[in-house]
Amino acid sequence: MNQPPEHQSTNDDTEQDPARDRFVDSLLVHRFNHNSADTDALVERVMRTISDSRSTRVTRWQWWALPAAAILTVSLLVMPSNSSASAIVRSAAKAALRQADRQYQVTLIPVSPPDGATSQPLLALLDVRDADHIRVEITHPNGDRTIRGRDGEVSWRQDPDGMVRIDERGAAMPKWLETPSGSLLVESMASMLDGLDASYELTRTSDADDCGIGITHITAVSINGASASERPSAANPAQVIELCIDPRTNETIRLEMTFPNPQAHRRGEPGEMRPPPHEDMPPPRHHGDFADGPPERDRPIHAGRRPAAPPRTLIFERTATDSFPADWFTAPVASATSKIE
Amino acid sequence: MRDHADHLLVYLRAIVRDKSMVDDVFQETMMVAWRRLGDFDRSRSFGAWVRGIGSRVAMDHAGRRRMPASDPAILQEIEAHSVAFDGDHSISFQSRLQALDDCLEKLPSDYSQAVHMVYKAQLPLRTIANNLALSEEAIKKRIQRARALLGDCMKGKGVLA
Repeated sequence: MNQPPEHQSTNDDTEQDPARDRFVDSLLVHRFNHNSADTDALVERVMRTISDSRSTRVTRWQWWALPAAAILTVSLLVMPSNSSASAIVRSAAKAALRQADRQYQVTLIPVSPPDGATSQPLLALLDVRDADHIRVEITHPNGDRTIRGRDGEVSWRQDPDGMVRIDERGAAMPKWLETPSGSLLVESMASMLDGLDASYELTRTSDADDCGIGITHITAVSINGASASERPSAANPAQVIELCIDPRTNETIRLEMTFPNPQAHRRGEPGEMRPPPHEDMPPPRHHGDFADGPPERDRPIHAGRRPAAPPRTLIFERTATDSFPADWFTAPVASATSKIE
Repeated sequence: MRDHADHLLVYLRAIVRDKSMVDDVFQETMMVAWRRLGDFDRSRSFGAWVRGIGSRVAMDHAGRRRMPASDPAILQEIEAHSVAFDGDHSISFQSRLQALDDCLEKLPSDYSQAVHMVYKAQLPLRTIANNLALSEEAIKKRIQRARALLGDCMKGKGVLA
């Protein structure tokens, strides 16, 4: 069953009605983080166990294997880990280059509007086969969906009204997509990790802290003085990047970017990092405001080389999906299609 | 059994303190129920029978891990909510879950935002607190209040005790 990785206890028995609180908590987890396929998988596992238990025959223990297993276990337990944080990130970047279908759940937390109004996170699914086969499905807070993709040759976009626009000039898909909630980074994991150790100070932190038991946690803090334009990972103004890397596969299973809080800077709050120079990061727009340009759907399809309005936080989490249909990255057939030439 | 699996999962998640145990407790509960199916009294509720097995399996698991047992009074109340949520079995689990969706729509926007961040986006409390410029304790309180409002709303719809 999918338990939210960070289903931190927000309930305790000091509540007036702890039983009802726990039941509602459980319903919410089920509503948002559990689907019928999860239940089917669990039931299937039970059925398989029942079936196996009927057919299992007692097998003789392979005594010869015991010393070898013991040596292997001890070796794994006591072998010192001499991997530096940089080496781990480089290995993760290398693993991310392996051609494979990967899906990430992306969460964009917008910068809070200065008037204290609330803003909902923007959710997206980022599907990547390689740097040239990318598809991102954005679910806007009002429920509208926008899909953008690149099939290796052309970039395309499907707007909430179903209209498909194809860029036949062969221009690459923009790295940053501008949405009303803020700029959304659309890039392969390999590109995000490439050259990270050159512009960020990497530290390996306690394994079980935020990533879970057995998962390596790396914190990358932007090196002071290096503006986004000077970095190899140019135009990424993230100041802190948290990485969760599976040491068995070197796959990055979670990446969280935190951007400077422009409002805190304007207020001059102590302890806040200074935002990069203006040319690196223009001031963010307000939620739902298109003051510095037309709405995202009306912009040229090749726009967004730099983030116009970085969000507060951007999170990429690997999902269990590991294969897409062959035509997954090609533009969908729609009743209305326009071409940009 | 499949029909009751979703509700059993909700019940187990509510009674089991260590959420990583839920899958194992679910599996063992289903195995025991399968083996003892012959003992089931068909005049009684199948859901309640499976939940009874589930609560005993959960207690066994907690005991093996030397974890404190749940308060029996709370377990009893959770069962009462489960019975109310079961209703008369004339509608599916997913349809009953619709009551939760209806209540979510009625939440004040800041509560709804916090619920979405915690449950839908599954963001760490630290991240939410940073983004909303609140303390983690304040986020926890907000979520608890949101759940209390949802509980009141669902009780009003007759799907909670």
